Amino acid sequence: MAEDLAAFTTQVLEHWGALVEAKGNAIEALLPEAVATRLQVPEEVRFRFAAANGTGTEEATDAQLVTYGSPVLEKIVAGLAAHGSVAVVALQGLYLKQVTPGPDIEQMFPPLNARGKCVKVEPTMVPYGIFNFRYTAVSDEKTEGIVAVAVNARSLAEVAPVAHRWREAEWQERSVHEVLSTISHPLPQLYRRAKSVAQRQIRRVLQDFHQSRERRLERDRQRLEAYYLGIAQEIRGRLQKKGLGGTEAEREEGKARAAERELLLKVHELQDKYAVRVQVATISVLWVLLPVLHATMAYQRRQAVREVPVFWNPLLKEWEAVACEGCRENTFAVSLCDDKQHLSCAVCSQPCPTCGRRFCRGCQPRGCPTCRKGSG
Amino acid sequence: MTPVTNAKPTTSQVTLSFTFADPPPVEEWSQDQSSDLGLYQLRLLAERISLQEGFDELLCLDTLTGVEPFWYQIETVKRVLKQFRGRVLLADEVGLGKTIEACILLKEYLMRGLVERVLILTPPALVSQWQEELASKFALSFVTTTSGTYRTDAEGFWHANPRIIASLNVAKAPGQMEIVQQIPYDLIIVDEAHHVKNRATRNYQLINGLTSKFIFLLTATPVQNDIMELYQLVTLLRPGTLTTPTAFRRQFVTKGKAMTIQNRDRLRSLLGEVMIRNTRSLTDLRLPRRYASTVIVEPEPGEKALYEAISSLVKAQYGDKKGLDRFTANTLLMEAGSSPAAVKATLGRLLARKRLSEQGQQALQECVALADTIAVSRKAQRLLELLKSHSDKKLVFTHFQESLSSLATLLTREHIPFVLFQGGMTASEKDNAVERFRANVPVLLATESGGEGRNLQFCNTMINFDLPWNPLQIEQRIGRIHRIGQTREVFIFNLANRFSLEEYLLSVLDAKLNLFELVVGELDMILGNLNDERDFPDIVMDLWLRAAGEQELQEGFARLGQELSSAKSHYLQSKELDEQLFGEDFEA
Repeated sequence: MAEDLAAFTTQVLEHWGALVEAKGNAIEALLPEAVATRLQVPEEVRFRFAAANGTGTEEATDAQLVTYGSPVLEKIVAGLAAHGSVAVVALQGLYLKQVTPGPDIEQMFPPLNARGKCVKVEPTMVPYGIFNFRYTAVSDEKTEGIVAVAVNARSLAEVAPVAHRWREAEWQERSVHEVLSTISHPLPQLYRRAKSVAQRQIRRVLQDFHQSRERRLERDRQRLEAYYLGIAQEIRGRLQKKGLGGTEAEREEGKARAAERELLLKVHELQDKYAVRVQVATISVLWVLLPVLHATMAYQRRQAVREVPVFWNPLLKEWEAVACEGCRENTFAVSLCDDKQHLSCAVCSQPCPTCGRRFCRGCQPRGCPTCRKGSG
Repeated sequence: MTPVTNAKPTTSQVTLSFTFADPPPVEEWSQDQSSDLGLYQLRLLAERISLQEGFDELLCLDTLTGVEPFWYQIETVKRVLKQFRGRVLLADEVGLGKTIEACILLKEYLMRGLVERVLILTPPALVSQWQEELASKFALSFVTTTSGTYRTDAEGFWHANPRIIASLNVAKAPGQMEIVQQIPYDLIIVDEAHHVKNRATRNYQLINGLTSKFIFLLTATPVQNDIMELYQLVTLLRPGTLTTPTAFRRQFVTKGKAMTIQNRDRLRSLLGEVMIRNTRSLTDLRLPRRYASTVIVEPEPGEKALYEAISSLVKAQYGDKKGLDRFTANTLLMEAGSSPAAVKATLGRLLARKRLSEQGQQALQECVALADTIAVSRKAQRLLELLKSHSDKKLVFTHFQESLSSLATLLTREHIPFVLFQGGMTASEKDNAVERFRANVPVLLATESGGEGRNLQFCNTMINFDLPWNPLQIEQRIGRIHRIGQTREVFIFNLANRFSLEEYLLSVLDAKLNLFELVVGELDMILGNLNDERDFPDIVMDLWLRAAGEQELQEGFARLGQELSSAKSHYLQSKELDEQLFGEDFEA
């Protein structure tokens, strides 16, 4: 922990123009005046990353302590939070294969209830947003982490590997203005898409955490039930054995009911204790401009035709899926609705599991219009 | 088997909810036209570095001041976090630092954002000690039920403050208990939890009706008279762990013998889920003996006259609308017990403020005049004799800065080498002072402030030039040299003037309580058994001020001695019982 903090502090201070030198477990730095002011430390300063003997006793030195919760670390992190929320890189030197419209592409994106034809293939630059989210899940314990979500800004499809693999290619930094002019969807829509992908991803990451709370709750609930209902049963047993009646019986029965009421309260308390509340904060976005092959699939459903852009990604060397307009999951096989030609995946194309009615999840995002269930 | 019931079945589904921080940063992205990949990466790194890991590594240890947790305390904390999931009966033997364990746990939970609303319930005598320890060692500020805001708006006080230390008596009072129980807490700490063991009492009902994610019950004596007391404590923490009372008795209590356990192994395994009890034999915390001597000094007539004049002044002016407030009255009396220099400074300030009546102002002037007649007090002379008596290193404590300064002048005049250790010195100045004392200076003149955590075990003689009225403060002074690492017997000299409040206090603390021989921590237990809502110094001051004459004073202090003595016997009985019951079976 202390080593990580030392490395991080060194990196930040150097970025801010300080001269930094490691001295044993500490570092010595000569800070620019503005940085010293921001951190409220002298310009010539020594930082340590653990208290003496790791036990919190005061040290003879006047070194600044940098540790979790320390004012210096908080100021460093706050200093960074004002910047670095957005960056742009353009990837270079990636090989784009030669492809012509035809069955190879059409077979990748088979229509389930329409005719599909690839009508055009051309190279183009497409921006991908890599959105970084920090989640903090709090229950009786806490777990936190960072998820990076990559979304193709043209197709809105999630292209998860881009989040980590963009570093494999050569890149050059570009201006934010350059990328904003190439995004075809409004930024808020793109962000909503990223949020929904992030939520799904976080849910997946938290599965074990969540299940372990469910096991704990179940165990505790059983213990409480055995206790309170046991008490109620003992009271009623005594009542029966003694053959009590009248006010005495009422009083005893009242005690038994009080135990049952207390059980409900205690279980409610447990449910609250184990409830998992996830706070998500958006940290930053990295726009990655990628040269890709842009193919146009034309899907014809009855009289209507919808052109859908699909992309061959040279970083992953594969065709990217498209996003289902019902559940937003990635899919290759699509069906189209009659009214607005929304694209649906195989799951979302199924009729409502409750009432059997067939409906488009793109047109009816709240679920089946008949029974309000089966949103898919 | 689940019993037959009329109640509706409960469910065990854990909700999972998401909240995204507002506002979305979309606007920021479209406005910020500059791209800086270096900063972008550093910012991500900053976020990563600040992610909190599991409980294997405690975050708070580096933030503590003047606390050196022992290995068993750290083990205890980790077990409570990981295994007990924040609901535990901390039943360490006296003096092993349950409070420190609870405070580390509290700090850890706070730093991890798992806890916001905290309620600490203690016996009245320990409220201010908790507040002081949390502030000085853990940098945590708490409000207490002794504060003015509580007195002016009790209901608002409970609701508005997220961190409260309350006396059990106040929290359970009619009208208060209902309010306290409405508030959902994240953590409740109950100190000296043996006070909540009886199901029929309001103490028990208060805790049972509170809602909290985590709860720590602290007691060195979970069983005092009956094994069912332990049952009640465990049931407060985790109802059902020891089944129903009837089933528990049938299974674990030998018929007709409330203190004899059967099925010991099974009970031990169940208790192991909720209780930790570290013992001295595990921790190897055995200290050499300590000896205390009371040195009663006959004051010179002038000193006696000054003390009596101050005492009369306080008695006449305290409580009067234009008179002295409680704090000033307390300070004047304590200063009078310390040195003429200390009391003179306060007298001067009071004179300058001109708040007292004409009669009061005149009395102040008379006191100043009396103080001016004393060059070196008899107590100071006695101190010099003690310092010159042998060459061992000696730590001299005084509560007041002015007393410290006058002693420094005196020692300089007498060519006795010394170093000063006082509040207001920087950390390195203090280190330097301790180092000089260790190396070649025979005397350290110290006030209490800021000395905790420093190792002074190389010294084994302490002289209390004056005496704090709070026995816990006396214990803290002793703890500076009588602590782990001390290899020699410890000698404590307590100086007090004849006929002073301190003489009476010493007679009670030494003769009735054997304060100077108690194991560190036992005092908390004993004071916790006192059934008085007031702080100990307040009890003492009230005794002094209300007594009409010598005999009343003696009777008052004798009564206090009696109460302390019976609180101590009560504690000793429970201690013996618990040792028999638990042995070393529940160590961290």
